[in-house]
Amino acid sequence: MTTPGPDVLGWRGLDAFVRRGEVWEGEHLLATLGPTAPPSPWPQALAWPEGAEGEVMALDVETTGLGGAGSAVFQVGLAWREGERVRVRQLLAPDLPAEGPLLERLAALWSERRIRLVTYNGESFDLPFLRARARFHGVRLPLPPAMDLLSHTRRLYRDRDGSCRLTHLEATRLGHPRGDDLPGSLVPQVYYESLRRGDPTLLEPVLRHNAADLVATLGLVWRVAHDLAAPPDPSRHPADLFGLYRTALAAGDAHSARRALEACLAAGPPPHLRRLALSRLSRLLRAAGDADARHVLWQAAAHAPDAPPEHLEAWAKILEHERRDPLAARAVAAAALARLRAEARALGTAPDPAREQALRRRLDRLERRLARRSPAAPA
Amino acid sequence: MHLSQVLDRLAHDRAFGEQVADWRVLPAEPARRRPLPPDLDPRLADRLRSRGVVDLYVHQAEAYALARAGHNVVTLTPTASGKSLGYALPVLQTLAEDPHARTIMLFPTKALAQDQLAWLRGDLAALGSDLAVGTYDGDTAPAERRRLRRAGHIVLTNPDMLHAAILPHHTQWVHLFENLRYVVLDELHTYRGVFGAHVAQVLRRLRRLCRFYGSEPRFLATSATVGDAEAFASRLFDAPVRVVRENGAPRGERHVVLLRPRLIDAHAGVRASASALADDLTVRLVESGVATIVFCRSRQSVELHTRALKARLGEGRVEGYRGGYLPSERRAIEAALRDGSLRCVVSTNALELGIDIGALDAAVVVGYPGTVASLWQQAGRAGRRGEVSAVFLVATPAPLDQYLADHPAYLYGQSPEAPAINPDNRYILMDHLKCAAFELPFAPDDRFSVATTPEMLDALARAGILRLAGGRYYWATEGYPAHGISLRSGPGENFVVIERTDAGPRVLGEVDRPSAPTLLHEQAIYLHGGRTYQVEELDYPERKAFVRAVDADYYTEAEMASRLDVLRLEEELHADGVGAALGEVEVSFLPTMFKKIAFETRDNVGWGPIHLPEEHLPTMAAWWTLPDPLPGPPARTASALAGCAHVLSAVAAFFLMCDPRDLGVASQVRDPRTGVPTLYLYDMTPGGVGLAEAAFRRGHELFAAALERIRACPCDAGCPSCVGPGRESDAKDGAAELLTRWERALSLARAAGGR
Ligand SMILES: [Zn+2]
Repeated sequence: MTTPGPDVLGWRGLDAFVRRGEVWEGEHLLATLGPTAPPSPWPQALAWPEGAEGEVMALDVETTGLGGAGSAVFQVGLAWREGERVRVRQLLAPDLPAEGPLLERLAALWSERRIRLVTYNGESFDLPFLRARARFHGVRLPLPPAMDLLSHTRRLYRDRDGSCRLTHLEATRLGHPRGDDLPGSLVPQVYYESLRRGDPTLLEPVLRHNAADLVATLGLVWRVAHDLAAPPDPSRHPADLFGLYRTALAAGDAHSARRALEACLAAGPPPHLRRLALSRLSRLLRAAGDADARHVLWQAAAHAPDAPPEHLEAWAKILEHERRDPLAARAVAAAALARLRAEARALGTAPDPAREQALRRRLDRLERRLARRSPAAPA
Repeated sequence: MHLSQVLDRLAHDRAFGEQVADWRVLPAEPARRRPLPPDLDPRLADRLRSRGVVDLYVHQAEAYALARAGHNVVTLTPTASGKSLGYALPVLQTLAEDPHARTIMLFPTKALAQDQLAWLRGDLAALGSDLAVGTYDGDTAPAERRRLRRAGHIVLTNPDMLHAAILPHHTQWVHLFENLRYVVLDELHTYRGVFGAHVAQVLRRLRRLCRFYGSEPRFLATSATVGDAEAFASRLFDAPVRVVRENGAPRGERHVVLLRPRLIDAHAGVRASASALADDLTVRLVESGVATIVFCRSRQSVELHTRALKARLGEGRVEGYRGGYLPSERRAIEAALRDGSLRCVVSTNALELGIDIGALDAAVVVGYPGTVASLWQQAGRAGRRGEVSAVFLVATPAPLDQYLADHPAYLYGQSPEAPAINPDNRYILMDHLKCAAFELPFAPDDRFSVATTPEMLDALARAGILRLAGGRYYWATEGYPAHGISLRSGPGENFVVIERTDAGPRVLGEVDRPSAPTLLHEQAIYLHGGRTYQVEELDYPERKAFVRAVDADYYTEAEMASRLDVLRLEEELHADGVGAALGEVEVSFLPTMFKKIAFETRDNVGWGPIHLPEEHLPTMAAWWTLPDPLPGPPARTASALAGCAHVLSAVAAFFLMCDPRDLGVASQVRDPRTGVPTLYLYDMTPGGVGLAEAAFRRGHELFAAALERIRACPCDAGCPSCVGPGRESDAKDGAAELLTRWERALSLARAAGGR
């Protein structure tokens, strides 16, 4: 199953490498993935750390294990855009003693110009790993300011994509299913095997995997930027609009969060997402003290022809507690109970007893209140 | 009834008195104190005074002074003597002077670490709110782990965590390693045998990392009173130590009663049952309202006593407690003891260390627990603050017990027992070299304190586990070496006992690997909670035994056949035709058959075969030869040699501070290797944990003690208490003759060698 895609266009393999002392260093000029230009203006939600400026550089490291002092960094990949292309620079420790020199070389590269790093899961893996290894070797390695794209894609894409693995998003969001790729979990094994056999050509798949990750990371930066910059238009996918809401919520931007949810609901979401969006929007409106909007929201939700019983119930609650209209509340609660039973009947099961009981209790309460309220019957 | 009254009645009971070999009353002793050290930080002194500590016991003051002078210190004191303050004070004072200083405190169990945390936290708070202390073990929450890694000034943990979680992740503990000033080890004497050999390696790894980070911690330890603590500790630490022996703590009056069941048949040396005597005494104590703990040597005997006591005291008034019970069962028993709802518990030494069960009034120790230190620790379970307590040691017919009954003074004076340790067991060393290489590549001059390190590293590199590159050995395999290495017989090695019931299978308990062939072979009777289960199926590769509850009136005992081959001679000496040697051997074991023994009569009521594979044990052995056999038929010498082996292994266990089961013995009239009568004593742990070596070096003492035991035994012609049961009629005389020849020659050799 070898389908070399654009990720290997321009890929030169080990031929690209030259020796610099113990460290091997190679450069490739590869094709980009994703949007061909950044959005303008750059979205606020994808802000760089305070004071970060300079070249945007993707970083991805390959290691001999997941942790512990015996796991080493043996390869560091850096990538940045050059016109229509991506420049990938890879540092390789062809044997274990070269780890220290590799880190020294990396420090030298980073000291040449101002850099902003972008990583995929770098906050929990690549950067702490580099920091620990540099300290272990006594190498001064100041880390440039960094943005971890994973935290953004998790908010933005997880409702539609499920998985936020880089290769998965590369396929769904950059339209590029990765071809013959080495799974990351096999990297340590391949490296040790190359040491045992003294054969660096075995590392070719690792280097290509690393380069492909870098190209995808850079492509995703602009993809995410575009998706965040574009207005919350109901023509967009409802799950993506919900992702916009998650992003806005994390940024503490209630206004954008509300707009994203409204767009999500207008975009015709599937039932589970609809329920989720409704409850989140209701929560936002309550926090904002906008009772009227909440009323309108649930009224509309309850009047949808396929409204589930819990929407009717939510509407009944608002009628009862906020609108102080027990008569209408009773009617809606009764409709909710009828809907709950009808739903169960359609499925050939019994209604959920807890929910049924909750609705019955609400109805009883409303009945009592109405009885108290109505003028006493003449004796 | 108060314990004093019960003791008074016992003292006037003639039938009981006949069986008392020794009864001493250790008088209450006042404290001996010293003022708080003058250099102590005023904040610390104030804090101590606020919790009632206005001065120190002499041993605390001495430990403090030695630690402050930069020595490694071991304090030998009994339990509950305030020993913790002796090591905590220098640590706290150092923190008062340098808030960057770090300390690791190691406890052999999680319970012991937890015990220290509260008061340490209070004392530390007196020095500043930014000083942190915490326990780092398997139960520690992730956020607390991060906090301790970043800023734990005092980290309380156990050797297992240090080995598997801290050392391999030292790059996350940089502040700790750069500033490590003290490593505290509590209950140092527990770090002997296999566990000790592992811990010695873990400490080597720790010191190696400290050198890398530029720190040089001192070791502060406490230990039960053992012989030759200085040599033991300095081997464990690879460094000279100073020992504090004088104890200044006060104590309440304690009665120590050594019981030897009466002779039934003086001629054959047969005594009444120790178990029955212990049970009678326990019933008497418990029924008089004395809260009592019964200590037994083995799991099997915990079960037998629990069964017998339940029958006499009634269900619910006594519980068994041992390793192999599920944690939930154990927690429930501990709680019932603490709140006083349970007044009697039968336990193995599982209850010795750190587990909080409150204090009981009396301890009944059935059979000498193997070490004097352990006996005192068990005795320490009885005795509420300042009140009268009692410990009864019931001697069994085992030669070791009888030896002690001959020499009750050993319990009080200078004990001849000395813990053995072998920090160079090659299997254990090999495991830890892997861990060490994972932590830090090996440079050529990095010897890890062992001469053979270069060869071993080379072997690991040839096996592809390490890689020699740029002059250093690097870890070069996937995985994480510490995960596969347990410092004790880890849970992965245990056999799980699963009960088959009509409601489906349920886990009943666990059995350690070495005991499995003899306890869990098919048809064996497995005892748990005083009930009998029969093993229906043993899945040896999967380490599972399936049992079913049965109502058996017997239990089973397995027999093993063994063979010994000498692989390499390491050291030998000759004197007067007698030889002594030390070397590597391989012992092969084959379980052969089991006997069925009736609970009531202890009669042999049947037998059956065992079908299990042969096991091989590469280990260290000491052996001794004689120039020629005794006159007469070879069987005479064979019987005498077997008698020597029986008594020698018992006294060796006493001198070397190990369990008799840690030692194996074998003997041959015409040994295939030496051609003459030969007696072997070997380590039961692969590679040896120093017992054979210590036996070789202390041969003259062992043979003298063995001879003494035989001569002191009142029997006519040999009994279980000296040369063992079922020997030729003159085995006792024969054994005495052989031992005399050995003893004389070895003493001469020792005098000549100046050793
Ligand atoms: Zn005897």
